[in-house]
Amino acid sequence: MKTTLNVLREIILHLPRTIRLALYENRSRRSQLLLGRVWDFLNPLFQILIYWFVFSVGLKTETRNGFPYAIWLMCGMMPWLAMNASSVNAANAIQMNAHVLKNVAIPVTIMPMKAIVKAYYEHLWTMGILVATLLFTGVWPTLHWLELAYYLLASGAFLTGFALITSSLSAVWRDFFEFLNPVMRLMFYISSVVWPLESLPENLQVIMFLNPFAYVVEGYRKCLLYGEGFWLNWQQGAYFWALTLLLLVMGSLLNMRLRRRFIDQL
Amino acid sequence: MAQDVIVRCENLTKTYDLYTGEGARIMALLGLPARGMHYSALDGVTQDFIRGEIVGLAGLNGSGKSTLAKIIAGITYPTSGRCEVRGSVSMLAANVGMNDQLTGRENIHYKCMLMGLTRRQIARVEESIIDFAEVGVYIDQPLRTYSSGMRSRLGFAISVHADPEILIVDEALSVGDAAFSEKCLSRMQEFRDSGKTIFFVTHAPWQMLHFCDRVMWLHRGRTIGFDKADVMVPTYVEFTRDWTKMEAAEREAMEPSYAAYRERFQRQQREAWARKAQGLTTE
Repeated sequence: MKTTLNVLREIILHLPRTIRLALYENRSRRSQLLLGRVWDFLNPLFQILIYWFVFSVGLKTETRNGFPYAIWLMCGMMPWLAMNASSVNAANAIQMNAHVLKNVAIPVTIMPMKAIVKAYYEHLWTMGILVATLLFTGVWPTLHWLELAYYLLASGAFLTGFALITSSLSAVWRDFFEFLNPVMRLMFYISSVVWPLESLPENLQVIMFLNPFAYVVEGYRKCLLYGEGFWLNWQQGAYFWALTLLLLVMGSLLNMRLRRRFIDQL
Repeated sequence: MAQDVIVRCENLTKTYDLYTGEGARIMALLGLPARGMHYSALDGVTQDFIRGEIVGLAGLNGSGKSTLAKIIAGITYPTSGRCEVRGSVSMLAANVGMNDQLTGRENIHYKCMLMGLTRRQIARVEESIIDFAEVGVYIDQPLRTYSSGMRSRLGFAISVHADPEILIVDEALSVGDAAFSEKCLSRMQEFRDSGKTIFFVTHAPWQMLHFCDRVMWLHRGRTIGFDKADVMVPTYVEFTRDWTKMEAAEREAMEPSYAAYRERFQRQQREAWARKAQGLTTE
């Protein structure tokens, strides 16, 4: 427990620096692009178009409460893209920054946290399109929209724990990172992003309950579309936070244990 | 003697594990018996270093100089023993944390942040870095358009402005032309004059002689000697002269003795003086 607090303290203490580093790296990516930030919007839009075509036009997927599929998809896709980019890039972060870690005395946790911050910075921008689309199609803001802050916090905490584990393991064991790719692909299809998990048989619904990604994806929809407070789903919320705590404890122990080995083996 | 010890190494050892393959490495990671061997980079180094000195680390390749430097810098960890560092420390790494897509100015900000400077500190040193780097109008151009010399100069300029209490220079002074090297060395002098401590790893004996107060001679991870630079550097040079002539087997068996080599250097010095004196009397 003490290790966890130390690691969390390190993360929080260095958060301002992490954010500034992340902003510069995002800027460096944009400076190569003529369209710059436009890609932050275009990339998710293209993906949404593709899935809309396959699942709505092609497969005639029905959504809960009869919301138009495109709107429903968009509300789930935006948080998913942020969580997916965070998970994959954070897992790779220690390896990617090996050169820096081997030459500068810098807390190793800055690297995965930087990846999460980068993804969420872009996410906050793309939320602009989402809100614009919602307003355009006549979905009006309610007080429930403020609960997005809760889901941002929840996903941030969960991803921090997840990233502590995946980045530490990937740094010492490369196969783990390769393994993460198919896992995230699977997660995509069982997180209710492109088709509603409610259409699964009753006994398989547990997938949705146990999947932390689904909690956040559905959470966004609950805020933006259904107008359901997060406290109504307190059972899954309690499970989600218990899991997050477990990941944070395990992740910080793992990170501390392996920290001494990273540097020499990177 | 109340000297101000800034770095205290106690019985430092560092062992690298070498495995026969990925499988063995993973086995070892899980705490299972794995095939492989240990490579001892540092083997019981005990030494106090005094604040405000420039300390040279001399030794052949693989003698443990860089490992010791990295442990003091807090980048890597000793396998056993303690390294107590009383002050902020930074390792001079000219090419680390430079981003090709950012402009020179943005790189100053980026790299300074990596090194842990606050926004206010960065604002204070920015102009000074630009002056030092001598990249002219390129400062607002992306780094990818820089020549390799300009790139290193900028990286170096940023590194020397980190202003730690202990600076570690690991073979990093070979950037730019002679004039720039000169400037770097004089910057190091300034650094020392303001009471900072410098650890200096180089293979150039003249640089060490010219520049260091004390030199530590490492061989296969062990301290052979630690002495004033004007005695240690020529002594070490005597040893390297022998070493280059040796066969592999002889090298393996070699246990250099500091006293013996110092004796040899001092004898040669005496003889040289004697010859000179003789020349004077016969004239």
